[in-house]
Amino acid sequence: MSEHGPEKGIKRWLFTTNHKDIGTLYLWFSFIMLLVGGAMAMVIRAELMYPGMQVVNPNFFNMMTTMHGLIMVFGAIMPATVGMANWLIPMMIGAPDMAMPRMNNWSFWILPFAATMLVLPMFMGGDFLAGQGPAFGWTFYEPLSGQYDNLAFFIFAVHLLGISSIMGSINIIATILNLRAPGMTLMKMPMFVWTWLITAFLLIAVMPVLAGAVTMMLTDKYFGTSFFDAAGGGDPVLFQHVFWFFGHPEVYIMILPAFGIVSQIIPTFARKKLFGYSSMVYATAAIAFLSFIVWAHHMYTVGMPVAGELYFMYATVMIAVPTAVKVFNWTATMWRGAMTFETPMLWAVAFVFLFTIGGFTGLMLGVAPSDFQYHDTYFVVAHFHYVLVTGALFALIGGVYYWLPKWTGNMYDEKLGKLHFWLSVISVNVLFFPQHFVGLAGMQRRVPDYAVQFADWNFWSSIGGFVFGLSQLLFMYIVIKTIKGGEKASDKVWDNPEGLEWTVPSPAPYHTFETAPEIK
Amino acid sequence: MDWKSTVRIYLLILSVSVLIATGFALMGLWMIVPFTGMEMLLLAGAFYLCALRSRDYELIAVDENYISIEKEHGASGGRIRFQRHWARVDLEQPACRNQPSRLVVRSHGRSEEIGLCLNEEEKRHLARQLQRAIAFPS
Ligand code: HEM
Ligand SMILES: [Cu+2]
Repeated sequence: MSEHGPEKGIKRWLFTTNHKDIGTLYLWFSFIMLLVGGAMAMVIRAELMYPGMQVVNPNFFNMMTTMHGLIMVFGAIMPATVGMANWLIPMMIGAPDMAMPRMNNWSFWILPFAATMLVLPMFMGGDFLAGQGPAFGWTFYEPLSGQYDNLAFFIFAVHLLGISSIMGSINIIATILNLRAPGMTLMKMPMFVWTWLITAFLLIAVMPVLAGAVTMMLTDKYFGTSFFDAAGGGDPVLFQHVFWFFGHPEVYIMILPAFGIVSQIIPTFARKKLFGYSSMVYATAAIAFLSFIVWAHHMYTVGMPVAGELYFMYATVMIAVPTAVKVFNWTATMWRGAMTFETPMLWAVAFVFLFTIGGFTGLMLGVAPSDFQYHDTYFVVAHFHYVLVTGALFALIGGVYYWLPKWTGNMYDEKLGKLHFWLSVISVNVLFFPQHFVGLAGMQRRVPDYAVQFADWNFWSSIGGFVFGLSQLLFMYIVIKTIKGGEKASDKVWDNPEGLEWTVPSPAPYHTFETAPEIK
Repeated sequence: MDWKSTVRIYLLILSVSVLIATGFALMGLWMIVPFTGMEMLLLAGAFYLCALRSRDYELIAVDENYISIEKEHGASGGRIRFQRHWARVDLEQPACRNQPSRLVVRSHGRSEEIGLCLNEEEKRHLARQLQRAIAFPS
């Protein structure tokens, strides 16, 4: 077979239908968004470094927390997982490409427009520092969000993001169901493929809810309806129900692919098969199912009937069961394994530890009477950063180190990779662990000033934040250096890794598997 | 995936989505329904196209006297034979730059496009292979 190279220049990227190109686009886009959202986090930590108001005005601060959340969720984590899916799923199931390559191109190229719509209002009205952008929190609760002047931009951006996600997930489902190589039965699929299949079902189920919700916000504001407007007979609490019906599955949309990545990395470096493969599959499905029936654990304090509080409490605490199954399986995979700690494994092991901390605080928050105290404090902020930063983001970074040699054909610099890891893992704990303390002591989230009693831990939190933020620039340097050159990677890259992606050359050729591979 | 399982999986997804949309509609939030509808149409279209395409094939055989082409593309298909000694294989460049080129076999005023599923690079490759295969002496 001859080498089929890509086109040259910008047209390659604009019109590409190649899953690897599109994966690369997604990953770079999400990294840029990580830096943008990260810069906003630096502003937040700068303001919170000392009590009192020093750096920005309150409105700008609110805009930063809002945009940081939105950009990280919709711009950084989600597109990164889709980028991984694009690169890996076809290679892992022995398919030549995604099932609908042209739609794949669309799914990606909608994103830069959506991101532009999202950030544009920040720069409207001339005075950037006044904070003209959305400042109502990433959860955009009514009635506050309804008072925002440029709401239409935000809603348009959410619609675009939703369309992109829907097309992406339809493509992933169609690919996994239709393009598996002969012999690649469902229960032989790598865990990453399974977790993405289930994630795609979640996306399809909840995206119309999000689209409908923002559309009703739009008509409430501009067309005189009152779905969420109490003055017209609507119900703002109902908005919270719709939002979290989307929002809770959304957090699992961000974490399930991360579970998948970790389930690929750990067996390789423990030199054992993944423990309890089928229980992993069922646990993932169980988590996905439960994620639909627990949404109101975000709303314990809005005044639900006691029966509601109890139901959502029991349902929420039940999620701990399948989650624990996964954690035990990862641990059992490592148990008595011949473990080595190359950079990807370091990130994966840190994931298992630190995600579990986030799981525990989640349990605490899931208990309704305790949540009455914790709700809307920094304890919640600590919880979701443990599951999202040391959870989802750590798994993604570990995944990049794990597959980068396959993608580029070059080994990354192991010393720098380890430096990046240790800098990140220490600073991230300095950043987020103290937030548990100030949260338990009553410091509210989303407020730019605080009582002096919280000063010490906030100072440390900010120091941790700056170091963690800067460390990610090192990550960018390492990745670019690896793309440009370095020690050549072998086809297998690691010591006997499992999966079809390791049977093709490094770097993976532009078109893999023009003839279907054989599955043992 | 065979058509039956495709339909089954689609109905499963459809029922979950319809259940959710109905629930919200009963709470008065009916604007979710049209989005669910649009999404389900898109999903149906995608599944349908994939199912159609999964049956697509082109079989090109070259023997001493004939090139025979048998194809199945979505709803259309059929077989056609060309006399090998008279046939030509042309890769026609498109009028407009972003359109795909056409790989055509023709002789005696008849022509047939092949390689519909291939990208540019693959079409060129197939064209070269075919031209070599029908060249003299065989
Ligand atoms: C072990 C399972 C988990 C349980 C029991 C749990 C429980 C909770 C509860 C009860 C809250 C609401 C706290 C409050 O506002 O008072 C919460 C908030 C949150 N959780 Fe979890 N959680 C779990 C895992 C996760 C995971 C895996 C993620 C994401 C990857 C996540 C992301 C979030 C986010 C983003 C929030 C904050 C939402 C906001 O901005 O208000 N959680 N969690
Ligand atoms: Cu939740």
